[in-house]
Amino acid sequence: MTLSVTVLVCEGRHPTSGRPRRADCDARAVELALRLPEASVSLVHAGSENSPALRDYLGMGIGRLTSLSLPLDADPTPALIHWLSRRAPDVILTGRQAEGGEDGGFLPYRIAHALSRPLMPDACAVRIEDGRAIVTQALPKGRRRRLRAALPVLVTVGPAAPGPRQSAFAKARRGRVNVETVAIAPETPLPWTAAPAKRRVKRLKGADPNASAADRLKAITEMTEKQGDVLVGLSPEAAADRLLDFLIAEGVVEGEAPATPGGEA
Amino acid sequence: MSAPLRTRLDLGTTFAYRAGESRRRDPRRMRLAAAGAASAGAIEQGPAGQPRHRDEPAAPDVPLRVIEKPDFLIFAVLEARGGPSNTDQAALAAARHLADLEGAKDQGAVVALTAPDSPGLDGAGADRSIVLPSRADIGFAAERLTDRLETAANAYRPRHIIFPETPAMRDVAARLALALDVSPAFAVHAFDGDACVRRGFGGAKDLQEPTPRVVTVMDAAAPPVARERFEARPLEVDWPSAPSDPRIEDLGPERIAADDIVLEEAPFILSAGAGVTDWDAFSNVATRLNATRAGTRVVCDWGLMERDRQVGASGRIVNADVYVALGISGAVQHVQGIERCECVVAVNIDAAAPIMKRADFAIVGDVNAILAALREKLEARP
Repeated sequence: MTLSVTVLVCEGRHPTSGRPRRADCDARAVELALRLPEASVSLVHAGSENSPALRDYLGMGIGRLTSLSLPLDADPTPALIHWLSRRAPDVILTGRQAEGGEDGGFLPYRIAHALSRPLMPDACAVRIEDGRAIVTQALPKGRRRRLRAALPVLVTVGPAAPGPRQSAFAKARRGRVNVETVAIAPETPLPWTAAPAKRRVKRLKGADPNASAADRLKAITEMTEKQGDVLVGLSPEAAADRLLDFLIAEGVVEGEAPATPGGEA
Repeated sequence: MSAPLRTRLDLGTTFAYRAGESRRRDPRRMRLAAAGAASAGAIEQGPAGQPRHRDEPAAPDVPLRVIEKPDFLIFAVLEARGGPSNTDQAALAAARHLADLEGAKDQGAVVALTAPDSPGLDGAGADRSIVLPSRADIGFAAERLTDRLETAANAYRPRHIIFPETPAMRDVAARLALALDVSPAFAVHAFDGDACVRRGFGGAKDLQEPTPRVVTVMDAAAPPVARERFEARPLEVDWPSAPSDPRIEDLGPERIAADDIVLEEAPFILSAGAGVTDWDAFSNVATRLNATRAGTRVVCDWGLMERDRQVGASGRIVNADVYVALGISGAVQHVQGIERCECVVAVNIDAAAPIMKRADFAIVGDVNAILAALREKLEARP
């Protein structure tokens, strides 16, 4: 039995140049989909069908891509929900967050809720076993956790997933973009107003915002001196002991905690 | 002290200096003096092994602020156990900001939703507290936690529910927003009165909107909580006896070798500089300590370490809990790379090396001899 997998892709933007490209997390989602054995992979995009970024996805080795044609500012969620509820793929994969729009990261949750599927976040590997999806979830600090849920599921893919394969130019040229026109939902006014991004205010560590300018300058320019313990003149064996005791006390190395943290002589 | 004064040059009174006092400060001598070179192994300052990121509980002499009858409530959902973490404090600060809006007619109260045994809430700005019965950080609890929060939100009808911006908390925030049928704002990085600002369009735009009911906030989005004491009075919630069945099953953590973790994510890094020559011992110790290996630009340039393990301004910026710098002098570019590390341990033969200034724990000595001793010690362990 083949597994039907649909990947939701969007147009990304290069963070520096601003040029359109495949969105990083979406491309990783396509990569995970292509690695699933016996899966038929289809790509869906909602937005402008003329985006050059869509060709980058086709260049990864997928013959065709469906583009739900929408005007620039329209909300893609209703169109995607409608399309997905008709096809009902076993697995829906998508990037954790879009790159070119509001980028809230809320869209996958709305789709999962509308289709009443379990959503498994931040995947870095996906496996299908006996009609259930086993997802390896990437957690902070390089930790991993495995989650399991019965199909159909929606899985979001984070930046810890394996990097996407290179996009081949010839395949990108050969691939076809099927444009589907969709009924456009009545426009709801956007709650936010957009302005060019301002630099984030950096809160100074240890510096009182009400302090004088000289003090604040000092706080920025001076190297942060933490100045903890300094051990001098130990034999290598004693130094190794102390180092190990410290690492155990900090909790990064397993072992018996020394009687006094840091190892009093 | 009556040191003889003598004129410098014969020209007259331009300079005068005391004999025996050098004009040049010898940094090495000063550092050694500070380190207590005379007594071997003396610990001069700084308690070791103490958690560094926790704030001290508010001292009793700080005035207590009581909000008896708040006009509205603001929930702050805290993630860490055993007291609010840095990200939790950012959520509390944002909640405090929205509760005490300048020029507003009504006064709000901050409710901290925490795991059991969470000290330090009174100093962090919580007027009330709700203890969640199920643990938020054990396993994949997003569905269960969302149920709990929905119950609490329906019981107290808070104006805002604020989460720290971490992957797990954002996941819960999104689920809760759907359950409450509201549109959330994620990764809010600033507040402008009662409006919140976040990034959009690939970071190119700032999106400003009236703060919605569910938000996640980044570090330093709101000014830190003033030095005041708050009540943190516990509130009761009638939890449903049988929470709904989660659809997602947690199969537990997956172990991956520390050396395979990307450097930016690695919690424990063993880093080598030009001072290391015994590479066999270095790799061996790294494996046995279960640490991720890294190096300076110099060792990567020499081909002794892969390029993607280079730490520093031209390499990677790391976020380790513990970073062990072996034989690294600590050039500015390297120190920039370890700026965000919680704790830095330095082993270097030069007590005046700049890395010693950054280090929380430093050993002055021959790094290769210490590595060899460490290897022997680790091999002897079971």
